[in-house]
Amino acid sequence: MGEILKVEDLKVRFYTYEGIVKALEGVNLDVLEGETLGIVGETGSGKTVTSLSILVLIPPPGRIEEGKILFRRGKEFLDFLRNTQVMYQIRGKEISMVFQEPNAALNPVYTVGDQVSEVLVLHRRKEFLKKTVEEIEEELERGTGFKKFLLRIEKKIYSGMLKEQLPLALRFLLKVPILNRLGKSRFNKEVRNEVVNILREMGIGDPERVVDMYPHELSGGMQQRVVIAMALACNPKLLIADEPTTSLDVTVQAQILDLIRELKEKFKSSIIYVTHDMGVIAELCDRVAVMYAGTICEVANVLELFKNPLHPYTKALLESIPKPGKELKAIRGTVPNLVDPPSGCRFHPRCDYNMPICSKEKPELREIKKGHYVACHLYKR
Amino acid sequence: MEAFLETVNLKKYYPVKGGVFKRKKADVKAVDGISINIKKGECFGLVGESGCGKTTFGKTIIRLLKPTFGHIYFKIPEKVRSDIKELEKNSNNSPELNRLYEEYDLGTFKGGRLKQLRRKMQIVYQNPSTSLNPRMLVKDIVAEPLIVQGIAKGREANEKVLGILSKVGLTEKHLYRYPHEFSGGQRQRIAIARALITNPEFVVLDEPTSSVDVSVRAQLLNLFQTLRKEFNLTYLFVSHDLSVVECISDRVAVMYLGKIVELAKTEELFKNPLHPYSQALFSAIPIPDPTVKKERIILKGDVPSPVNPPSGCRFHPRCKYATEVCGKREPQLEEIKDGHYIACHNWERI
Repeated sequence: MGEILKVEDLKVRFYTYEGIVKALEGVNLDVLEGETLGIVGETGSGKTVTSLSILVLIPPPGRIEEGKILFRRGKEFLDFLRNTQVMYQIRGKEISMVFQEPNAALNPVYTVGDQVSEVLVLHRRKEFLKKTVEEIEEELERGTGFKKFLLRIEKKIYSGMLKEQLPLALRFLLKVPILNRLGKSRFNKEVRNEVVNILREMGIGDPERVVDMYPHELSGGMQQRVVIAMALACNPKLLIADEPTTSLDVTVQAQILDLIRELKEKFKSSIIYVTHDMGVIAELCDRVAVMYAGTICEVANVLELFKNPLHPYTKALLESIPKPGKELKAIRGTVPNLVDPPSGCRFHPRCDYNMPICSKEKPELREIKKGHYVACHLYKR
Repeated sequence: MEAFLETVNLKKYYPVKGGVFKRKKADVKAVDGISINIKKGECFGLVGESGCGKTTFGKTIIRLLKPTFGHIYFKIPEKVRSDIKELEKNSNNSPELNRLYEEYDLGTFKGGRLKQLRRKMQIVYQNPSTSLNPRMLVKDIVAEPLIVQGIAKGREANEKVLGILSKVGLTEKHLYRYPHEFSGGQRQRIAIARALITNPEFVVLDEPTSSVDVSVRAQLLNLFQTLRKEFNLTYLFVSHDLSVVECISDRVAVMYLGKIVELAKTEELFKNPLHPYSQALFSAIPIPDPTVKKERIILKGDVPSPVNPPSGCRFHPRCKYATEVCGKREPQLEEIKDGHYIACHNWERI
């Protein structure tokens, strides 16, 4: 089990009118092969920005200032932050993402089938072309007369597309209305079948009907299944799930979590699960990274983190979970404004163990126990 | 204990209009026959999935919406209540009964009396960034109920505003600010201050913590508890967050598609849910403890549309214990143990 993704010293800034928002300040993160890494934190702690920057999807006025994002392919690590070509190949195919709100992540004017097939056509086009050619060859053996003639043309078109050198005549043919169907219908049918298969795998009942539906015709849980289908269409090695169940009800959340767990076992992919719900983390994740105000303050195994939280913020976070019959311990104050974050450790104004050094020096993330990293001055030695 | 607030077979339907003349085509049965008693000083939790009618019920009970059917009684003398029951038994349409309805049933209130009522019943909405007017100063937002109700004006109102703001954890320096200058938790505090300034007895909290963070949520929950003691309030706490409800409520009702399926004391309900829907709902809560592995009951499919809900028991198409009778006859809410109500035909079998 090696690392599949390494994020090194990531710094992200948003240049807004109010000032420069220092959204991420030196984030280091490893994702191991086949594990589920949970990222927890409050609103504005940089969970979503981290996951977006892994895919280089930070919207302007945001910018990735520094840092490396290394993704393993075979044996070498590729830094695709500065290599757009590689990034286009990886994004959506090897790393894909499930967004927070399914009805915002889906385009309302395209059918479910159209949207899922977009990923497939982009990344697995050749595969489908090959399949179509094989199918045509099969039919050619049986075909006669005019049909055989059409099939021959079709075969020429598709194999031309596959080799990416289409004869001029055929290219002209594809521009003619009605006749251009020769270069589309079979391919589309092939893609559609695959979409139906994927949707069925996601536990959507009656996928043949759902393929032709628009997002608004589906319930929230169904929409989220479609978004997950899009993300998993190319069997990614790493799936980033950015609060996929926040906008859903508990019972639907249970369904989706179950689905994610099942799919993980099936596809053996790693998952980064971003959430603010400690309960979900406890159920789903192997390792947890706790984020606060753009920094990672603790990384540990789930069992270890819940049993033995070291960072004061993690402790406070775990204590603020409502439990019956107990006085709730709230963290005083609020999440700081990241335009002007506190100096030194960003948690120090709200911390119960505040020391003079905390406001001066930023604590580094260091390993206290095996696999348990904390960024806090309390654990210096 | 006498009933503080009682609803009898409360229904709220929203018409679905369509066709040439925008005729009524169907009804969305958001709340469909709810009868509950809320006792003085308690926090009554109401849980359910989105679209089950929790919010509509909360709004109807304080008469922000007019009920389609049913009665709401608020602090009604016991004698009158028994009179009404007696009269209802005898006939459905006697002038005496109608007079009593008009006098005591909140569902029939209009105009001035409704305004009087607002003083006693208030609501805190889900999302403070939409429930506070962005163009009003905090002092005006919080003082508005006083002016509308004619309780206080000018300096007197200002003093009251200050008093209530300090109770919810805000200070004088926050008076001359606009809502956008506050964080989510503080905004919710403003909304709470606005609700409490008329000195209400009953407050509907409509998912007050769903738009804030975990750490702020704990602050707000603690605030609700202290305010309840201090002002002697009664809460209807509407939420889909079960852990929050478990933490704050005395009694909890579980709602499914406009009906209450189970009602019991919080402890009892969370420890021992009997209705198959409550069982599934409670088993779906993720527990923040990685050492606990529990059996989940995963419901198949989605919540049916409230426009035409399933016949009989509304949960029967998704229920694994469903028998023939479930699809035919609607189960009534009955008391099976001390204070534990359930609407299910087969609860004994489960």
